[in-house]
Amino acid sequence: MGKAILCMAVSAVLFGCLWEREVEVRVFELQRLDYGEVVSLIEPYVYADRENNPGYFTVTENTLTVRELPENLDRIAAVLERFDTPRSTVVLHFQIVAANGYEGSDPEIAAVELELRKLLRYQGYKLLASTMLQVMEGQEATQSVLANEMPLEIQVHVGLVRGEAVELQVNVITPWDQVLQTAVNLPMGKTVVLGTGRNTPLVRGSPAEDDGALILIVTAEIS
Amino acid sequence: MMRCEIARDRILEADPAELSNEVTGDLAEHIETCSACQALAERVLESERTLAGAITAMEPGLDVDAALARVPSGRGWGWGAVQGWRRAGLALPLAAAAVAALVMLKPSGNPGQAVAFDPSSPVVARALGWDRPSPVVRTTSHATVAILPTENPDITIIWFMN
Amino acid sequence: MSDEAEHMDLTKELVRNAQTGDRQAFERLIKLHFQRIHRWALIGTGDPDDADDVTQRVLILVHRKLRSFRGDAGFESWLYRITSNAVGELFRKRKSRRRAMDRYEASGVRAEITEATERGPAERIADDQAAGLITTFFEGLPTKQREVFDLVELQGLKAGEVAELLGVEASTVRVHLLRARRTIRSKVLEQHPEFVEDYR
Repeated sequence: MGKAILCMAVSAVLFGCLWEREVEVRVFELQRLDYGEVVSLIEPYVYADRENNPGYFTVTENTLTVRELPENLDRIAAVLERFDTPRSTVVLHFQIVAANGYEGSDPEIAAVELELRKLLRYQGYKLLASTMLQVMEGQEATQSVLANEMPLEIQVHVGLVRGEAVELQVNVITPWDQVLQTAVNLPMGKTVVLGTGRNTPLVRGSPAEDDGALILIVTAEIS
Repeated sequence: MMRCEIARDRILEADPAELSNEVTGDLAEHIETCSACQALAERVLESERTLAGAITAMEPGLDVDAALARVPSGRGWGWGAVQGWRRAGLALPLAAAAVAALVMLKPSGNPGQAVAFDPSSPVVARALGWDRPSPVVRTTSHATVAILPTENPDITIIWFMN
Repeated sequence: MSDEAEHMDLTKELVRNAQTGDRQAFERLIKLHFQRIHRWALIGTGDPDDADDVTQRVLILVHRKLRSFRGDAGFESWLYRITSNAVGELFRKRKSRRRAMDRYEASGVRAEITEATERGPAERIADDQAAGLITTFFEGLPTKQREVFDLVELQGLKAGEVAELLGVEASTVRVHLLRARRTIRSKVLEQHPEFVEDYR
């Protein structure tokens, strides 16, 4: 009887060991999600309160390390594959316009000019320069253009695309001044018109020779 | 006994503690006994105090609260006015759990198979905080900004008035 | 616990919380270090208005980069590097703006150019003697010497602490300090020839 009990006890221990499943450690490279987003997505799959072999995770700048059962790691991988998509290239179209006593209209800015004329009292609008930048999400870029034979610098920082829009930081610098500095939330495919009524030399060569405005038209799309 | 020429040259580089007799040494000894070098040492210390005061007087024209107001909230230059996922309290973990439920309850024998649901769905958007309203513009200058709606839904005009 | 140790502990805690997106923690962290940032910006640029611009830029950069701060170097060291880079960025932009302006002027296009009169720091100081020292400090010292002189001589930090902050050897700090002292103090001597004439 004693031997039988001993055999059963040993078997139970062995059986119990077989039941204790192994956790694994897996490292995921993050593309776009930040700490808060990662935690909110994967926390349901990490069982920190499991008695044997609790799960845990750590997040550094662009790495997620998770210790969990294989099936939970697979679920995390699936979620990350769905949401932590690689960063895209955002294509930005810029048009630099001067508002002042100009005659005539430019077909390239017709739609914007139509709306500007409803709101502002400038006599005319002239397209001075157009340019395009392709910038990866999370990156910065600078473009120099000549507008009215004046060198002008456009600096932009592209945030991460969220839903249907992206946040841009835009600076426009002339040789004398930083005429524009702002962050703007821009839905994809839409146009934002940034204007400043500050008198800049950019528009002083205009026919009317009085105060004008500098306007930056920006449209964004995913490459 | 140190000569004044040497002492004067040493004064040009000495630690303030030596000049004010807080530590002993041959320079400090000389300063104690030579009125001209003592006057020079005092002048040097006083000038540095004046310089320190003048620099301190160039206080920030920038107010810290005004400066902080120009720093976007949320995830760096990210989205919306999220103040950390912790601020969402219970809502976020519940939303995340809902996302998890969508994944786990979907009938599929293979736990590794990605679930094909729409990332712009309300549940996911709530989980990631993408559904919170975002400001149209954040200016980092001292400008007054007017956001002018237009009749064209694809065009927004933002005017900076200085 | 010393004030300094408490300050470091508080900073660590605020950094940790701010890194999770806690805005209040971020704001407290900035308020704790705001004067320091502005001081570094002022010493680096030599101009209070530029210092304000740099400080604002630093706040934005800190907010953007805080999650990438891993804590291997001290937080102040990290903050100092961001400030120093922001100062450099300002000067680079200014240089490129100057080059652009030169090109524009050389192109022969007529334009009225108005430049704001720059008031240097000395112009804001009423006292002549102080003004002279300020001018020597900001215009007579190279940036590194100015930074070291301010941190050690005027703010009372130890050479070792400054070395850690600037990411250089303590001996380098010492060299910068001695050179800066000599330049500033020689100015004082110039203002007091009566102390020199005795030796002639």
